[in-house]
Amino acid sequence: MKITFKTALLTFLGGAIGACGRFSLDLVWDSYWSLIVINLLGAALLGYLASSSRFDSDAWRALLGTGFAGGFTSMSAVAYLFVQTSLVDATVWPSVLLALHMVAGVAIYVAVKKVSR
Amino acid sequence: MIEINEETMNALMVFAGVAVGGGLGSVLRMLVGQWRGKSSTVGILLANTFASAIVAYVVVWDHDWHWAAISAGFAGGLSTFSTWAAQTAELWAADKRTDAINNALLNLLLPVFAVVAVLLPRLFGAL
Repeated sequence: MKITFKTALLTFLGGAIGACGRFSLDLVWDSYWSLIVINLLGAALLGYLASSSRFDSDAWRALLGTGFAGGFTSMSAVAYLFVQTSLVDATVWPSVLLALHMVAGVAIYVAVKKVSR
Repeated sequence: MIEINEETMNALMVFAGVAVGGGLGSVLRMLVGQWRGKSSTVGILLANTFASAIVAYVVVWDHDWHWAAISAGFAGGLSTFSTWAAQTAELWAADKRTDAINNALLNLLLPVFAVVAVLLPRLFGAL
């Protein structure tokens, strides 16, 4: 993707909407579960964008991919919530959940990319 | 007519802050997430690690109203799970299995280390 004023502006817009969406879900639902659903949806969206021809342009990629999916999903929240839950729950479960979360993210990207081809 | 009281106004300000922070974080990620026109795993790793340190910093030291704009907004927008998943999957598909596993593990370990490092003084009761 070429970095131009237009793609930067579209990334800003998509990122702003994505961040607000994540923040809203976090307010109305459990932080960790909403984050997992958000991250899987974002990975699915990138999988779709990677193979669908409908949004095959730099502008769409900036708005929906780098902007929305990137701003909607978050790794910093994953890292922070993992440390927080590990401090409260000193079992293997926080680590197991983290590993499943990451594997599911890659798997859903691959699956959606394959299906939407 | 909708009456806008102080509480509504504050909520709108918080959302506006998250939107601007998320937008700026995303543009910064766009800039560091590419290298010579190609998607960069190193750039995304740096963005994710730095963003995680910011979130931990905000939790410990910043309890002002703008915490949401910086933490949920900027750091959330700067870091990404979806691009990490895509990059890892593409490395695996290109038979770069070792790179894929390294990318997966580093994006787990470095952000978590960043959080722990920033939280250390708080964890040991120094603050």
